[in-house]
Amino acid sequence: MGLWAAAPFLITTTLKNRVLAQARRLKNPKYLVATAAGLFYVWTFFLRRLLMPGKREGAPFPQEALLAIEGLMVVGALGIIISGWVLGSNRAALRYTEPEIQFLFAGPVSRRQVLHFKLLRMLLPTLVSSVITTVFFGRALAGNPLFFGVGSFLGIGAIGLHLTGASMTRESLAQHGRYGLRHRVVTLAVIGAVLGGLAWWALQSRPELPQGLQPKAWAAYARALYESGPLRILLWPLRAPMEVALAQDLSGFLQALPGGLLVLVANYLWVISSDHAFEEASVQYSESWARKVEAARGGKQRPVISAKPFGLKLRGTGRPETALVWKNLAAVRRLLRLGLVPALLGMTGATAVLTLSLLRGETPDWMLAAAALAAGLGALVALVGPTSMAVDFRRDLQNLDVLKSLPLTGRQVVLGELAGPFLVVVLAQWLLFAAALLLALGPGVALPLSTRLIVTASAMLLGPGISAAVLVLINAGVLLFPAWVSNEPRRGIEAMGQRMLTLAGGLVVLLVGILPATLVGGGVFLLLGWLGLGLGALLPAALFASAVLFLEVTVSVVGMGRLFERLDITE
Amino acid sequence: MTPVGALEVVGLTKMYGDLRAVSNLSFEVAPGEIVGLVGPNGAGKTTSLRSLAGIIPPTRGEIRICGHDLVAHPVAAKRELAFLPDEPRLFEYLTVREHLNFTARLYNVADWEPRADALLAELELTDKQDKLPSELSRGMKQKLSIACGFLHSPRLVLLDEPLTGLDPLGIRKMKRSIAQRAEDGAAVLLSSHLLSLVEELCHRVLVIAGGERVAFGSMEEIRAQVGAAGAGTSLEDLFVQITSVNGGRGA
Repeated sequence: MGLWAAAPFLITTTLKNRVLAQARRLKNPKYLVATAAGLFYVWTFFLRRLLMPGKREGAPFPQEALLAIEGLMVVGALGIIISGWVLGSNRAALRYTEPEIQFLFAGPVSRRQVLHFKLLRMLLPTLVSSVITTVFFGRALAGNPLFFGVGSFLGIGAIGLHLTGASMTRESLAQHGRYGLRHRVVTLAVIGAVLGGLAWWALQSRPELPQGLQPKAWAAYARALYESGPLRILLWPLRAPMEVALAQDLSGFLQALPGGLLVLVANYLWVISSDHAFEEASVQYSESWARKVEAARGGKQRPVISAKPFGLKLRGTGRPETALVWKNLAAVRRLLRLGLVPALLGMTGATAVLTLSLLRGETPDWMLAAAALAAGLGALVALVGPTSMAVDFRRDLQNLDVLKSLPLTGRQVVLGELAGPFLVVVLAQWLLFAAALLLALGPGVALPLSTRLIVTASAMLLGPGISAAVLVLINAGVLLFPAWVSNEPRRGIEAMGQRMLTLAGGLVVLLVGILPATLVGGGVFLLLGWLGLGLGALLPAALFASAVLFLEVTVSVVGMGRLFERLDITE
Repeated sequence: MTPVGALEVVGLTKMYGDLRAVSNLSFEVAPGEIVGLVGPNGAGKTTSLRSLAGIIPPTRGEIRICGHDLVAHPVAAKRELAFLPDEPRLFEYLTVREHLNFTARLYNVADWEPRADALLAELELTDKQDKLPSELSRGMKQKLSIACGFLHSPRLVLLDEPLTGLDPLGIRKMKRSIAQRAEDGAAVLLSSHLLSLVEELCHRVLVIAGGERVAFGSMEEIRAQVGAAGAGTSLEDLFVQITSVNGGRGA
């Protein structure tokens, strides 16, 4: 009885306190602006749609189209369920928070009550998901958005419960030594047998398969199978909630509702009646989730780190900021699942050997395609590489106090933090550009060799400037708004607004920052072109544009250094 | 010529908006001296230590470390100190030995390898030197943090609850290690709720409450300040007396 009284209190108080805490933060203009941006987004994309007149205008949805949509939804749900059974983990996927484990698992509460609590809590996000799907699809598909909302809730809830039950069953079997690879194969065999039986039935009952690729004939064939025989019975648990969602009038809704409810309740009862001890798996799951959250507070969601040998030893004396560069290079070495740099070096070497061996004849088309791909990838790395290579202030966000205590000036810390990812991104793009040139070095290429050389050299000059500018921009954001850039999982309108503002602000600053370099580079290109240098003007243009970018980067690093020195990490 | 103190703090104040976390705090620590920093929860101990380590900027006041003004010359000042927080802060992607290598370069320690070997042996981390922090227990992480702090032989050591997570043997070794550093001339400011540790190790004790200094001196001087009867009154009794008499505010 205690938990039934405590659970609503816990849920409502948590919600109330979260809202109050966010409201209190509105005193800070930074959060006020973020909340306003988030509310604007929610209004534009959600509420405005919801508040529009209820019933859709125009002719009702054609029955065939509705059936096709229902069929697609059923196939999607079936795919999720089958992959849950076959590919899912052998650990019960009930995620309790650490406080829930401390207070509920150790409290005077039966395990069944704990399970009820979690399952009912799971249905709350289902409610939110069903509102979102209703906002986007309900008005167009259902006779009434409310029908679609109820049907979505029943369908999404039933799938979620079923997957939970499946994970608990699998874990139970695994703990009893009955669910390994062999039993996965057995599961697949059962599914295969069912599908084979269905195919046999289909060929028996409707032997005339449509000829050729006639979509209408195939659709009619699929519809006939879908609506008759064993398939209709087998798919009924998936169809029942969909029929609620897609009901076109009140009577259809009321007819479909009991079936949809039955599916949800049956799945709920199945999970509850499971005799499997879920506690241990839940504790492990929650601990690993807490570690992920803790890790995410310092940077992007990160892969598992292994102590791969780094091999680069640092002397005890010399410029101290080099220690930060070295530290971040070690991070790159250990965080990348694939050895990116060795892979790129290997690729370039192989390309060189290949090119040299093929130079005697015409350059084949596939080599030109590969050259274009490498060049495109190089450009992509120059622009997006700094965003992905988050081994700078983003990763060290949780260690800002350590960085603050180091005997380094702010400028040294900023330089040290940025140099590591910069070097890696530049090396990667240079190798890709070099690979592109090597692949297109042979005879028979439309562009003259001089053009290929000029374009490659220009890209190699300009790329690092762009990468440095993007890297500085991202890290300046971290130092200016550490709480906003933090990758700790955050929810709510304010967090949504923060993400929007960060993205939009970043793009604006990047465009403004690149503008002077574009003007200078463009001016040099036009001037030298006018003087008769032709495409050769691209090289000095890229050089000047890159110089302007590096000048901006230098000024920004000095500013960021001062910002870092003044940064109060407690605020 | 007046000898330079390892740590001189004059009028240190730290405000968070309207909240005064540390208020007009003044004290000094001489080379070779161990000063204990004690106070109830929320007294401002950690805020004070973080200000002294240059992690958070003080709102007002002067902090001099081995003669260097921490605000005006932060790099020179920080080079002389080691700050060991209660929660070890390590880089998840550097191994134990690499942490020491990293620290050596930051503090320009040419002979870091023999020093690192000695510290690893002293703290029983030799067989863990190729492990990442995620592979270490809480106590081992604390030991690694301590090893990094001691590598460059700092002249001022700031310790925030240094024994957290250590096993009994580790605690004994840590106490010996702190005392040895002081004997070698380092100044130590040690914040702890373990009053027996403070009483055992420290030459003087600084008691703060509500962000203000409420008592400072040797045990005898504090006993005299509060008029405690009997020479054997423990720090715990004095602490209770001081903090309850002052209601958490300065004397």
